[in-house]
Amino acid sequence: MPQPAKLRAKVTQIVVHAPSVRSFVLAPERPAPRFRPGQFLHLALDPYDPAQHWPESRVFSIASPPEDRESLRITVSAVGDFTQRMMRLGEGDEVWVKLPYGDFIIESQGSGPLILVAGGTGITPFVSFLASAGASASAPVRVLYGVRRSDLLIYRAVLDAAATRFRDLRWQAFVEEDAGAGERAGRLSVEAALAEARDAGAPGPAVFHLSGPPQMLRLFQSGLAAAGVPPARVRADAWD
Amino acid sequence: MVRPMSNNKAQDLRARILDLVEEYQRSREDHAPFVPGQSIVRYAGRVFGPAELRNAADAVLDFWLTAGRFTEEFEGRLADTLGVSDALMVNSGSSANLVAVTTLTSPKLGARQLRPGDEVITAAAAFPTTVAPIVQNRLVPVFVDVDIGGYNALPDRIAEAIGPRTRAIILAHTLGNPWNVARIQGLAKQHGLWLIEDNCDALGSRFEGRLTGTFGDLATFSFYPAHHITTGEGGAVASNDETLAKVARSIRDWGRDCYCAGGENNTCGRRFSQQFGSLPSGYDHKYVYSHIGYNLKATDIQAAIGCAQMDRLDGFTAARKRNHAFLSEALAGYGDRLVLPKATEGADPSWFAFVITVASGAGFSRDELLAHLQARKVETRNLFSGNLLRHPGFCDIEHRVVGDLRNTDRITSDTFFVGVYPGLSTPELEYMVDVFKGFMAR
Repeated sequence: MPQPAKLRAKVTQIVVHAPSVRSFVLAPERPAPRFRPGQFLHLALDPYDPAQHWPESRVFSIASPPEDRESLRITVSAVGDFTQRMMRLGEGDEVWVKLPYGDFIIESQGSGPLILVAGGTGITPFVSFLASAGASASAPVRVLYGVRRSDLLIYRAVLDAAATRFRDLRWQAFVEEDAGAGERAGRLSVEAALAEARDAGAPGPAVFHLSGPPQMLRLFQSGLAAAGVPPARVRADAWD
Repeated sequence: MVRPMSNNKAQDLRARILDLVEEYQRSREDHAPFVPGQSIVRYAGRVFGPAELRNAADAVLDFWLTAGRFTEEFEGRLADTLGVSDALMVNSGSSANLVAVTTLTSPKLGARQLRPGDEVITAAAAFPTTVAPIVQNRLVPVFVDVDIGGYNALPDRIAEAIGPRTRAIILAHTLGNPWNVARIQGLAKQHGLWLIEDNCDALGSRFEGRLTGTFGDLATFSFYPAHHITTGEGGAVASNDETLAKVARSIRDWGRDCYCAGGENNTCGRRFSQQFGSLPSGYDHKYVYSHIGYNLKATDIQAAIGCAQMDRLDGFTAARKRNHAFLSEALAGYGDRLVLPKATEGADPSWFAFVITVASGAGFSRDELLAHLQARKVETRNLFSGNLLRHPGFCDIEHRVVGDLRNTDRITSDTFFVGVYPGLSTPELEYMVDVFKGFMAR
């Protein structure tokens, strides 16, 4: 992993998905260090003085592809004071970012299917992988994308595009409140993930990548363990 | 460059200080004319200007001291220049070699971990700290001879040296001349050996169009003042392998598992939720040690100077090549008495120096020629240690020699180099040639 760099960045675009869910496109003052799909950045709202310690910050998975080091995208759900402050950011505002961090790397390894399970904005580390022009997978890729309402399927277009570009990629939306055509009603389930792995028709064992709220991660980790999936084949984007 | 934020008075003072530092450097730049026979023609030297002093002063005013914003920038620029994923600044090229070899002893490498008694192929005509880390890690150096003219390890000898305990090869691109990457990398791959490029004397050199320092599993760099760029003391380790880079960082930073920069905490977001060794679950990751490491970090002041030097790298490389070509052409007529340097086939060296071996039957000794040069203020250096095994610190080390070290011994007695560094002026180069001609005409 390259040495993380701290960069001033300008907010160049804000996409409002819902009152409390926004995507921010950030232009760092110089190209960001190389990063890999699944890695995250730290974002600080207060100015950073390099002669002082890094200010308060929060971590966000990078949703943009790694080949684009001049424009970084994150998606934020307002859940606390810091992310509430982020909802007041405007285009042209300056923030500070430091990156890359994390070892939750999304990549195709071996012949087993890659099962990507995302809850809400937890889709972002997978989006970086799926949107990358360099990404490919000879093994099947299955994405299970769970949201509360169908308007929160904010990366639907990226998933559709990836489905046409990857050799064998399918994705399924799980919508709790207002599932539409082609979407499954209800929450993500361990059983659905196991079924996708089983039906993918790949010779090797599946590797499960989990990204979403802590309770979802716990549910899948215990459920997959109970189903006999070895811990080495379950990777979770978990933070303290 | 990011400018620190502060109040207006501080910002204004800082700007004035930095401008004055630049002005100071411009005012003291040495424009004294070269006086043949009186001025010393150096074999190497720092080439710097206002930008280096400005950056150094900027870092001092930050007073962050340890690795900080300039280190981030320098590492990033070096990695980008090389086109590798990771570049890690350390406090010297020797430290870089220590980090690189020690990295290969990490248990994180599984079956490929180097263990005491494993063999590492290298050359005895080397700088001592290319070989020392092998011994320091309780590995066994296996020495092969080098060629005269190119001064690199002979690929056929390397092939011959590979035995059941051979696990790695570490070789310097001698004085900027790349070794035969195609052959040696091929041998390493064929036999599953780690390959470390000691690129300390070769930043900017290329083999078949690609920069050296990008072929090995790990590569090392030196930024000592005599080198291709300088940070005073300083060096780097580069790799395209994330596991190796992570281990190298750990070895550099006390052996710790955590990769947070100085003064930072929990950048991984999992500081208190992991389990290591037999420690209690959730033990503070910042103080978990996965290696027997060192502290080999450089300061941000050194990195700041390095950032300014990186801007000059292309110009430095061109000057080194130009100066080397000038001497090659001017001394070409003495090929019967002087073995002139010869680039490896496929290589485009950014030469560290102009290396010469006194030919057999030349009718004079190296020391006679050196005395003539020295008396006329042309500085020379031996090819570092010559045969390292003849030195007090190395004569008793456990080792193996494959074939003989005939050329290595010859280098000890017959080889030397003069400078081609970018600070040499045309009059200095012309004078150097005149001094050689004067000796040859005796």
